[in-house]
Amino acid sequence: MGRRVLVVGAGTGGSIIANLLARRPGVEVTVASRDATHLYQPGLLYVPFGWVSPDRLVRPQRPLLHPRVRFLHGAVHEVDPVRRVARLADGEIGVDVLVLATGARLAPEEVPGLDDAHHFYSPDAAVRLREALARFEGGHIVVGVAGVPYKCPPAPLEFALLLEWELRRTGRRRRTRITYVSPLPRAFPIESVADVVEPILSARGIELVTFFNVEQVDPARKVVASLEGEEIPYDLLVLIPPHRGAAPVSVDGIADRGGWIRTDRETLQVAGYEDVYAIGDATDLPVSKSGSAAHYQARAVAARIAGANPGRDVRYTGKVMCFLETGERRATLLRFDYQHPPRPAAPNPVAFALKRLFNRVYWALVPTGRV
Amino acid sequence: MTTSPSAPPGETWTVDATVGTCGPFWDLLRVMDLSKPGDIIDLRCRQVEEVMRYAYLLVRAAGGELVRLEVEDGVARLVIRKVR
Repeated sequence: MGRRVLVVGAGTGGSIIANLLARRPGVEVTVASRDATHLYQPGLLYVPFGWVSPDRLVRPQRPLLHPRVRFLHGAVHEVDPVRRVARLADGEIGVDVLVLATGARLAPEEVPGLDDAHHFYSPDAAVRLREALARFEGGHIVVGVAGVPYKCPPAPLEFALLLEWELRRTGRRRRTRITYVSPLPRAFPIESVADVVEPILSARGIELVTFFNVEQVDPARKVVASLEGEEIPYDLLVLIPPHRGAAPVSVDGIADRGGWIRTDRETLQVAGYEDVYAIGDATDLPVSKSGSAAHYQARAVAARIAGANPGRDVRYTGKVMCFLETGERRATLLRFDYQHPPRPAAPNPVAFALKRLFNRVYWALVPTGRV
Repeated sequence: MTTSPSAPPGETWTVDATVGTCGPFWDLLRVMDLSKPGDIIDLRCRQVEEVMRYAYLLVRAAGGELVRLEVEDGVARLVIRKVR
C-alpha cells in the first residue's frame, strides 16, 4: 500500500498538489471538497463590467484532477490532526499525510450594515454589482476593503481603476466621483507597488482616503463610517467583506481566532502536527492570499511529501507572482518573496496581454499542475 | 478611550513581522481585527522608517493605542493596546 494523502479542499492549491502527488509512485491521493465545481476567482473582477459571464469561470472539478486522484464530493465536518483522520457525512478517512487547503470565507456579518455594500468576490455578488452598475447614472462611488486580510490584494484597486476606465468609456465619468478607501497608509499594502499606483489614481481623479478602518455602514443615510468616526457618503458602495478561514469547525485548536491555520512559514507544516500541512488562503502565512501563493506552496509541500529527491528539505520562500491591471489595457507584473519586495514596472500593454493570456490558459496549466 | 484599570488582563499577541511580503501594517491590522479591547499586541518588523512615520496614526485609526515604540539592531518593536 502506498503513502496515503488526503487533500481537503480543491481550489487552486488543493488541485495542484493532488495532481502533482498523483504522478509520484507510491502515493495514493484523495481529494475531499464540498464543491463539485472549480471557480477561477480572479475572473470575477471582470463580471461587474459585463466583460465575462460567471458561467465561463466555473468548470467541473473531476476532469481537472489526474485519473489516479480519488475525488470525494462532500464537506469535511471534522479533522483530527493527531490521528490524521477526516470525518465526512458518510464516514471517516484515515491517512498518513493530511493537507488542508480549505480556503477562506467571506464574513459580511462582522460589519453592521454591510448588506448595503456590493462586492465581486462571489459569482452572485459580482452579478448583483453588474446590475447595479448598469443602472448607475452618476453620483459618488466608494470602493475599498472592510478588513484585513482579504484575498487577492490587488483586486479592489484593480476594480477601482477598471471602474474609472469603464465609466469614461460609457460617458458617465463626468457625473461620477470615485473614492478609494484603505485602512493602510497607502493604496496598496506594499510600498513599491503603491508608489506606482498612487500617481495613476491621482491622474485619473480617484480620491484616496487612507487610515480608514470600516466600522459600519448606515444604509438609511448612505454613509460608511470608520472606527474614528469619519463618515463618507456614497451612492454606490463597493466594499470587500472581511475574510475568515474556512477550515472545518473542529480544527479550532490549530487555527487562530480568525480561523486561519497556524502554519510554518517555510515548511508549511501545521504548527505542532507532524505530516499535517496547510496551503493557500486557509493559512496564517504573512503572504497575500492568492492563487499564485497557493500554487507555489502546493509545489513545495508536494516536494516535501513525495519529491524526486527524498529527504530534500524543500521550503516555501514566500514566492508570489501576480498581475495588477490598471485599465486602458495596461497592467504590471508583481513578483516577490519573503526577502525581495516587488519592483513593478510602469503599467504596460505587454503585461496586460500576459494577464489576459493567463486568464485563458489557467484551466489547462494551473490546477492540473503542469506549471 | 482607554481600558479601565479594573478590566481583566487581556491576551498578548506576539507578531513576528520581520518576515513577510505584505508589510508590517498588513500583519498588524490582521491581528488588531482579531484582538479584543484590553489585548496587547507585541510586533517586531524591519521597516523602521515606515513604522516611525506611520505607526501612531495607523494604530489610532485601527482602534489601538501605541504603548511603546523602540528600535534595536534595525528591528522596530511596537507594543500596542487594543482599546476599541
